[in-house]
Amino acid sequence: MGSSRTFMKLEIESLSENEAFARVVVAAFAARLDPTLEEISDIKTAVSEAVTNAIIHAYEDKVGLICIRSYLDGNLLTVEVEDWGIGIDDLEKAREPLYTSKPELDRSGMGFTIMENFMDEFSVRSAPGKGTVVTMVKEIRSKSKVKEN
Amino acid sequence: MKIEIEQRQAVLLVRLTGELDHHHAEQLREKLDREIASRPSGAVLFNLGGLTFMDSSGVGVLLGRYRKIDAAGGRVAVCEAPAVISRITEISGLARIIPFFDREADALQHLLLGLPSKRRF
Ligand SMILES: Nc1ncnc2c1ncn2[C@@H]1O[C@H](COP(=O)(O)OP(=O)(O)OP(=O)(O)O)[C@@H](O)[C@H]1O
Ligand SMILES: [Mg+2]
Repeated sequence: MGSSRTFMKLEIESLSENEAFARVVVAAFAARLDPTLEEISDIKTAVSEAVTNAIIHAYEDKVGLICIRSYLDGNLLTVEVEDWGIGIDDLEKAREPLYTSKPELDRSGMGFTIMENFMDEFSVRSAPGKGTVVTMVKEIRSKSKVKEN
Repeated sequence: MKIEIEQRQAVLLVRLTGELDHHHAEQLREKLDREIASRPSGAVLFNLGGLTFMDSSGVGVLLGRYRKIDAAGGRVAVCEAPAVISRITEISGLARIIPFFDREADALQHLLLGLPSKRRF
């Protein structure tokens, strides 16, 4: 099982009720690697952050499409969350902890910091006016292996 | 997510069950702001014991209520935060801003003792 590669794609509208759906789908996909409860919780949180950003920031008051692609390769889970919304002008500033462009909406500017901390690799590509792609990778130290060691 | 609000002496006890994400944070904010508006300078205790998930939207709604209540002279505490949300409360700094208690009784005592006797709901 460890060396198999597989892929899935999920396309949703940018509606807040889809946040739970998106993170549960990715967690169910990742379950094939036999993750621990902590790993599942980290994956769900990171996906939720990326999807919520697309809903709140990329599309603001409009409804657009969000594409979530996920890959399993050996014990690596990759998740990409893409939107075709407003994009990000200053990526460096956006990634700073506590920076938010929407403080009036009770945002604390921690989403990117959380994705970075909860996953092993994290990157963002964005083009103003075109959209944003967030890519995250997590190594799954499967439960059965943890027990063996 | 289930939101249960009850009055415990001078403390508004808010019990949350389920998943606190952006979708549910909006509902929680609306409901709480209505409750808090009628009693701005009291104490609020969030019992998070029933939460199975929380992301930065949950952090934002809790911090937002804290800032509002604190600015009006009230007090806020959190209790029974489950292990599944401990990473997010630490990384986000929430647990350093709002006092966290393991037991509800200790949090209630902290809030009640800290309240001046005249300040009541
Ligand atoms: N998909 C996106 N499209 C456009 N802008 C984005 C996107 N994702 C993030 N941003 C910008 O980057 C900033 C930082 O994002 P981050 O998730 O760290 O914080 P936040 O969403 O503002 O607050 P929090 O995640 O704590 O609720 C946002 O305020 C926004 O300006
Ligand atoms: Mg965010």
